[in-house]
Amino acid sequence: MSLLTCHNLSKSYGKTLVLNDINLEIPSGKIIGLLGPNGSGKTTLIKLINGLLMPNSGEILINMKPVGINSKKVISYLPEHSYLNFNMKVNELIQYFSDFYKDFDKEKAYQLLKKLNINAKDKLSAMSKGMKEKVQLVLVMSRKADLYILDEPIGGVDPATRDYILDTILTNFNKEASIIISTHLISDIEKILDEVIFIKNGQIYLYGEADELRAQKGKSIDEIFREEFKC
Amino acid sequence: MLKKVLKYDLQSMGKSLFPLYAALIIMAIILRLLNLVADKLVLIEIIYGFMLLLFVLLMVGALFYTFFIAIKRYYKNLFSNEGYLTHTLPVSASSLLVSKTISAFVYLIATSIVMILALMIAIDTSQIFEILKQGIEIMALSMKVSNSTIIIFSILFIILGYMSYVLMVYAGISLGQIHNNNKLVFSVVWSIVLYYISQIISIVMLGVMVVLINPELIDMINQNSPAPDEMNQIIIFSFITSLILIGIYYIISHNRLKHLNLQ
Repeated sequence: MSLLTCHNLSKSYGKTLVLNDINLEIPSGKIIGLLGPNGSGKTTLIKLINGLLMPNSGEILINMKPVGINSKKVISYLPEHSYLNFNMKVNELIQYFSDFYKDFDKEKAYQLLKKLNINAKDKLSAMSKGMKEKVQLVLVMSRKADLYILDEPIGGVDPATRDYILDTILTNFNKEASIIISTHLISDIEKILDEVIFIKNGQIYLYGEADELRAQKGKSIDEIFREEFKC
Repeated sequence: MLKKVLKYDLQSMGKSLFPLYAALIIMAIILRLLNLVADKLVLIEIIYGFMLLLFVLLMVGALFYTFFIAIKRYYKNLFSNEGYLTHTLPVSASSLLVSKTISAFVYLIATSIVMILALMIAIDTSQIFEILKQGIEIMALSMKVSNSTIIIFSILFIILGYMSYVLMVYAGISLGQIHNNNKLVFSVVWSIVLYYISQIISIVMLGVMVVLINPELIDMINQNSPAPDEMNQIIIFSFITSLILIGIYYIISHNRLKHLNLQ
């Protein structure tokens, strides 16, 4: 049984077609890179899976059920920008997540914060952009979800922190779960990917095992990406 | 889940409104104290006058501010960046909307109570209450109903009027989200459009009602001859119109929350 299924999924904004007839089946237990240039439709696809946008046609199933309360219970989503209320303190946010998500592990969240030297009593508005991103990642990764969807999780942090964040993701996700990571920074995440999806002009351009693709083309995923999406 | 959503809505609005409540009460106490010594010193009298003006402004603005905070919470929590979290919580659209409606109602009541308390602290209200009581008695007599009916009707009138405006702007903001650009501008435009539509509906409904009850009613009112039964029917009918409008606004907002367009 696939964890996530997209059938003939299309989405347009006005007259602009952003996603065109997407068909996808994503299994459990995989780390998948959702890769594509700017405006290719990555974020739109992610928003559709999270129910933040409605498709014009087609359907999305998570654990064979349509997007709704049940899918939201099992998806842990990290958007590309901050979605937290800056007037709240970190410990208030932990309580907030714990109130709404049954799979949220409070203890784990506090442990991760301690490792990152973040004071749980601090207000978000007093933190730097990078710190806020870390808090958001801690909250998202402290859930025992079936599917983690991370939209540009390392975009706003320095290269030294990137490795730490990737390590945090790898060591904290539920091993039976899948992770979809959308990013431009392919070389940084290449080593952790099991599968890759290349998305171009709103269509799935390529979907396969990362190792197979590397062996087939004799190049790294980063190099394949640069070649395929050359301007 | 409604309880949990409500807990956070009330907390968040409370953070903005409790300082207003504190300011109203503190100012009322200062006014009362200044009043005791105002006639003894000109300077204190000037300060008292200034404080009284500020107090009146704060009292006038309190309900508007409460209204604004309810609208702000709705927009920020559901349609700004925060909406990405709110809408990925395993919570139904109706829980989100009902919670926003209840919290707006709770703070309308809270602000009203604080305003009455502040007024009672600040000045000697025995005269005001006496005038109010006389007014109620006159109205009750002319409408052929009891005093308590007048009080209940007046409170209902304020609550329904306020809540219909809150839900009207909720619906306006929700409709503004259909557009792909300038969502905030379109939210305002839709709220204004809904306001005019609701005014037209209310006037048409009232006209129909008058014709149905008694076509000569307007002449009777113009000639100052009271028509209590008819007037009571019209008041009840206007309550029903408000309730229908509130229902329509709720359905519009609920529908938009079920068909999100968070870009």
